[in-house]
Amino acid sequence: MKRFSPKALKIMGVLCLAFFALTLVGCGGAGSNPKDAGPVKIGLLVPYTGVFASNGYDITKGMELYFDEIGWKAGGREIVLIKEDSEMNGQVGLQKTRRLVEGEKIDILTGVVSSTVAYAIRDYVVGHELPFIIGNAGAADLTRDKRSKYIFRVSFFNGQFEYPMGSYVYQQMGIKNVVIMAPDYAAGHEKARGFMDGFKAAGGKVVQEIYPPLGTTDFGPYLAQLKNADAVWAHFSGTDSIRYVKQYNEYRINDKMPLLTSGDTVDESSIIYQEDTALGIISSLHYSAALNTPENQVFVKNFRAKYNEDPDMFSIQGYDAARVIAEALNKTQGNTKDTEQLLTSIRSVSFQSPRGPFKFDPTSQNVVFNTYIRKVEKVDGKLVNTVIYTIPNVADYVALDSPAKQ
Amino acid sequence: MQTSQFAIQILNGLSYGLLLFLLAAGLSLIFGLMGVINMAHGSFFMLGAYLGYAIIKVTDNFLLGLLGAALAVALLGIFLERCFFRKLFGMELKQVLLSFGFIYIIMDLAKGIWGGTPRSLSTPELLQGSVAILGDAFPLYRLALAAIGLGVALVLWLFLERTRIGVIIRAGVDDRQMAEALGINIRAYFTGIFALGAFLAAFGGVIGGPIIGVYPGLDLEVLVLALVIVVVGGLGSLQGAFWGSIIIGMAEAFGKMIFPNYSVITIYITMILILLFKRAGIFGKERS
Repeated sequence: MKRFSPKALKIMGVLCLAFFALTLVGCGGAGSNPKDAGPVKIGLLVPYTGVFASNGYDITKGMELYFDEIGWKAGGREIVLIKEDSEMNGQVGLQKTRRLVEGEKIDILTGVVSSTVAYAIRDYVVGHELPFIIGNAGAADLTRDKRSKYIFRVSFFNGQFEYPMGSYVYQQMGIKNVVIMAPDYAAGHEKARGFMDGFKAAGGKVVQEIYPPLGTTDFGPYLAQLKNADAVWAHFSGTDSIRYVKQYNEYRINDKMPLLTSGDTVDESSIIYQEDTALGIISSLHYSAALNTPENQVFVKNFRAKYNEDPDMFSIQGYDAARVIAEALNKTQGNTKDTEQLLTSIRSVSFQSPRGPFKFDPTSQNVVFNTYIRKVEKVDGKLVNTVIYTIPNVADYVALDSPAKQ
Repeated sequence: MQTSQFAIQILNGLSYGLLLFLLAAGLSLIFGLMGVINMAHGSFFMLGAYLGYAIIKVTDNFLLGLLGAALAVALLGIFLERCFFRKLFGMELKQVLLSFGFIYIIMDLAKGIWGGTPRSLSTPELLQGSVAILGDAFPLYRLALAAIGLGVALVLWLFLERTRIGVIIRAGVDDRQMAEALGINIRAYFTGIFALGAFLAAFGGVIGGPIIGVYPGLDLEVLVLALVIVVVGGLGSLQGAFWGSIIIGMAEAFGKMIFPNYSVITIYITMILILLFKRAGIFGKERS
């Protein structure tokens, strides 16, 4: 066989290299055609273990219901939901976020029930320029001092719907002084402060504050040391809320002091277990499954049909988060590469949600919503949160001077 | 603080303490006789609660759940003792490590079957409601819990003091080698004590269910409490387990009242204080 001359080998080598390079260029790089870009990957980081596991599952249910309704497509691209269990632990949450970003290469992060986890991943998310749509974590700072153009929140900040209730109970219910109880961690303190700020601004007095550790199973010793007041305002979530309301009833505290609470405490996911011990509790929230708007009636019907249970605050938050993502993708026509464009689209999303008008505050990027005062009543043999009063257009009561710089 | 609130706190402490006694008694006796701290004792408590929850969910009968769960876990105890612990006779440290392994197996099994969401058992209908204590209300169920705990304590005491088997067990706890030298087959009683301990732990798990509920992590939480109690009361002593439980129960209840935000450390401070004065616990024997 004839040997190739060095010159011929050189030319063949260059041609091979050129061919190889062209192939690479052809394969890589997102095409301007959305169909080439593959599915939009949404990372969902919520707890599936522990005190707030039920909340994690409910957010997931709300999101999946919305994506079902739009056929898991938006902006011309398919949507893929990648779920991870944060175990409500900051370190685990950070590790799983890393996996979602670096391993799965998600386009948008959503979920996060616990504020501890939210704080733990905040800097990482902002550093990696990842749009983060908070589905629950209520730490107020995330949309105040620690806000960022990458961080949006569809749920609430701790105190957002507690603050207006403070003046409501003073002015409309004639309650002049209260005992405050909430779990001893950041969210518990923030929510209590929200109520206390609103209550004191209206003229009320706080007689006592008690903060049992998060996950307390036995509230007996705490309930046995309450001072006298017109009412007790409490916040507990998840399994704590079930035990607290039941034990409040067992120790017959409601004979002396009616129980007012945050909406979380008598959320639909809890009252099915609290049963009659929850009757009469007055609370505030951005939602109630018993809200009588046409949008909500459709939502509740579809949710019941798919999951055989009523939606709660976490389900509607998941549902709204999914809608925000879909509407933003529609606006960018499926483009997730231009992060600035995506952020602008998310910021400008506004629609009529089952819980009322939905939009983001442009400065804090936190949701602006209606606050509903509800009362637990039995309707047709079932416990519901009947809406007795509406306070519209509730945003942050702390003024922010400008949107986040980065 | 009003007198009625003080009385309620005392009852809170008593009922919680007596619930823990069920756990501590088994742990203490197992150590006393076998020389083994069974680390899986908290797992027996949790497993009992889960099994009770499952049985009640199907049969809607609390008593059935209670006895069924306790018997099932007792059988598990017999199985573990005969097939695993017995093989390591004389090597107490290895037996402790073995029991540690069982913690993880039971923990994962429970999480696999019942998931990560905390469960709660409903209070049996007969014992719902409250009683009036000096004008304040105290849940009837907790009162019943205290009564059951006292009853069990009494039965155990009678068993140990007044029956032949009880005498043999006490001899074995006191001085195992001497008892064996007298011709008593102490090893045969190991299975029985282990099963009894497991039975009591699971029993406690089910009757504690309506108050504490059951969730992943409960096993280690109650294990720590039980260990503190047997250390405070003295290892191997039933009286120690009883008084240790009362002291820790009270420390918990009043700790939550005096330092509500730091109540988690009151029991440890109590333990340290007692150990400073009585090195082997209140009724413990100094071992050479």
